[in-house]
Amino acid sequence: MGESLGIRRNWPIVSLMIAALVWMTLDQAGFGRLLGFLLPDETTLLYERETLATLMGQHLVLAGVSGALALVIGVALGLMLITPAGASFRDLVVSIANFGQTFPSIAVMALLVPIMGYGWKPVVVALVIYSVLPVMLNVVAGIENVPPAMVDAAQGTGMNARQRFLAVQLPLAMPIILGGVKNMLVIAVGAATLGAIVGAGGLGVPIMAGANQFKPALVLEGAIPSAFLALIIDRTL
Amino acid sequence: MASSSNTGTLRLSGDQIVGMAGALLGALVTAVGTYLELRPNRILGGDSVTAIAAFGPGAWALLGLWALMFAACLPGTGRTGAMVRGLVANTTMVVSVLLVARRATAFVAQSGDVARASLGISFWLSLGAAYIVIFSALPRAKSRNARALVSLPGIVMIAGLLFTGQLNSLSILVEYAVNADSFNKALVQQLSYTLGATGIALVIGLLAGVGAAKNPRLEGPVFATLNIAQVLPSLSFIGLLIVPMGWLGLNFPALKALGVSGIGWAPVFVVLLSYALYPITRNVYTSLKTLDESITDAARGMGMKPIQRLFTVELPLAFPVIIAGVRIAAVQTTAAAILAALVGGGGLGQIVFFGVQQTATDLILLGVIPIVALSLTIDASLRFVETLVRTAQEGGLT
Repeated sequence: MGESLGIRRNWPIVSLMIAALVWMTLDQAGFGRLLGFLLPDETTLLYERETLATLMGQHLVLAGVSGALALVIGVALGLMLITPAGASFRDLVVSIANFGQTFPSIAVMALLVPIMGYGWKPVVVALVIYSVLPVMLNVVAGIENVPPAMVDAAQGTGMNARQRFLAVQLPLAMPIILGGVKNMLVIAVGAATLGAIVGAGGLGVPIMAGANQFKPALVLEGAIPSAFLALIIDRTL
Repeated sequence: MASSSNTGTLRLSGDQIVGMAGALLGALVTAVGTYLELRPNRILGGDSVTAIAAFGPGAWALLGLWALMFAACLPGTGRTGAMVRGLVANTTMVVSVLLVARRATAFVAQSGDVARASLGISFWLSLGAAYIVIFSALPRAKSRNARALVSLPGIVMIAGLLFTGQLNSLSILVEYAVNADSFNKALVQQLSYTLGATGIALVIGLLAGVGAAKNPRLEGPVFATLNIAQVLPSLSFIGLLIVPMGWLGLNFPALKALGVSGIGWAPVFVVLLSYALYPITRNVYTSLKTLDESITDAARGMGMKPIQRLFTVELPLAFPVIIAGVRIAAVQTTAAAILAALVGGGGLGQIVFFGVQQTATDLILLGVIPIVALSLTIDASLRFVETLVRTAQEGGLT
């Protein structure tokens, strides 16, 4: 992907971030002391109604469930778009995807609330809609990117269409498909933060509570782990 | 040979399949699903009616139009079929808007001023179906005028109806009438975020992109920094800025006078600026890196100094790609600025979140539709500039 200009994986830093994230989640009192050290004037340092571990669990479930659904749907749709019949719809799908870019993901959640009520449902649906696109488009791009000469050669060795697809096209397309899956997970983990707005829990909860009550420590309690989570996923996959 | 070319003309082409799918979707949502929601007042639930129940004969006319579009996708209809279905799709959009507006006016007149007529999911899907049909017609419209004729009239006429007050009985416009002051203010704020963040990102992005392209040592740090900003979830990013922005506001009276503080516009603006920087910087960088070397060599041969070369040759040639970066940045910023409302930064997000609190779909739409319309307008105008410059350049070079 062109998204990775100038990015090198730095395992020591990634390991450090993972360790820090695990520590914050499990040793909440210690994390509270760190926030108190950063913001000496604050008295409310941690969100009281839920532990960070619970919020992190909700966050991972929201992102994980939507990510898994998006993976299945995205791959299925991508494979449909590379069939001869599906190819007619490819430009339309790209155009709809571009339209989707102009539509804020929160707006989708917001519009689903009157239909599905508050909670995890509107968030999962919105996350799936936004996460399907990178997977689907990268499946198409990956398969198209396979040099036709390779497919011809496979045909020459007597492979049928199915064998050609499984043994040649799919493996060669894998790097691009996995790039799409990584983008999808970064999007899902990031957008799961917004779930708090419609009552789905997750790491956005303390951020929203802190922003509403002018308590910066609460904001950081949610913002730091969610930022780490997104960076870790971006750097490890 | 003769028989195979014969079956070739009878086979459906890709655009015809897409057009048929759009026409079928349009007919389906006209026949079933909530086209209009008629409620005694803003809060109570009411009747969800289909187009057929709402309009009677008018709906049969709509179904006829969808059938006509379907027929214009049949094998052998060719370019004429494409133009016909495109124009009929535009007509259908206008007719369905006129029908819902008339039905809404009748309903409010009959049930009292507090009664509300809201657009249902089937209505929105029928607009989507019209768009699919129009989209299917575009590849066959060869000239720029033909493409404009197929894609613009419907949207222009609906905008005309909207601004002349013909649609005022629809619930979403009642919401507008009630919230006009805060809406107008929010719209200006939303625009300021887009223009401000994209404008400043263009200046910084030009510097950073040129720097990274000309100096390999800058390349790594510039893109590593921008990538971090790109990966951070928007809400977390705003959250991380609340403390430093608050500190800046407290310690620098000049910034405080500008309204910089932990909440409000400042943290949101920095986040939007950071998001906008990546596509612009990336496009400046890649366009400069991929310039045709023979051209830059020629400029060098003419004795131009590096800075002169940059301004008179390289940047003008890179301009279309840079504009594409600006376009992506502006569209992203317009959508992301909805978050400003969460930390007291205003914008159309305010309207959206009021709507969420009251579970009032029309109020949510009143916030969302202008955001989408704004993004699409920005996208279309910058694409237009891009093509103009590209054609001018190609004309000049050949």
